[in-house]
Amino acid sequence: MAREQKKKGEKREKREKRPLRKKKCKFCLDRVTYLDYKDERRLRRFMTDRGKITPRRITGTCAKHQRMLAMAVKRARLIALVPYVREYYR
Amino acid sequence: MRSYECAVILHPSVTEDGLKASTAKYVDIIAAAGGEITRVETWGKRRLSYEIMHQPEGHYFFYRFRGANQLVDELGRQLRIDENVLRHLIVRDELANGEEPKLEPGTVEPAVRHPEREREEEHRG
Repeated sequence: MAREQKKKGEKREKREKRPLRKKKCKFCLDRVTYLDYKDERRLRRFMTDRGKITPRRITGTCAKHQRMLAMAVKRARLIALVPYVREYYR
Repeated sequence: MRSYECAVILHPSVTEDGLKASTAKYVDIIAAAGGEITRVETWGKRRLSYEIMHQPEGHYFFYRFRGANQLVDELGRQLRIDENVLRHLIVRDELANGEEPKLEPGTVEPAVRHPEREREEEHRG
């Protein structure tokens, strides 16, 4: 029992070392109302180097802008501005 | 009438005259169907992110126009027939100040903090 409590205490300490910091939606800060699918450089910042759309839990994008981002990326993929997948060496 | 934007990727082997002819052709199609062209833009020959029909490059063109929905169908049909077109995309032009913009400027949530909501989200992880 005592040991368990100690463990829990340790865990809590670890949490405190790295406090949660709320990420801000970058598009909200810029007051973005429309995300252009032609804006390749901007879209690429929200994609992994494999060509996936970065999840918003990582980028901190709000739901509204994540939807706009997904739409823009998918359009950009269609006209080959950004890749669907980028394969690495096999 | 609605505003649209049409992106066209032409085959890299199309000559300069061919590009002009192609532009003229699509401008004519739009005009003939009662559309009104607001802007034609080209990015020139550009590398594609992935090969389309085994081509690593393509000529990019963007047409912005206003027109009826029948025009979009007709334009799409013509683009699909054209063998020089590697790929095309017709989307509603949200940037044009036409009617029915999806988002009015200023409706985006300003970057204000919502302490309650933030606490909730932190709990969720």
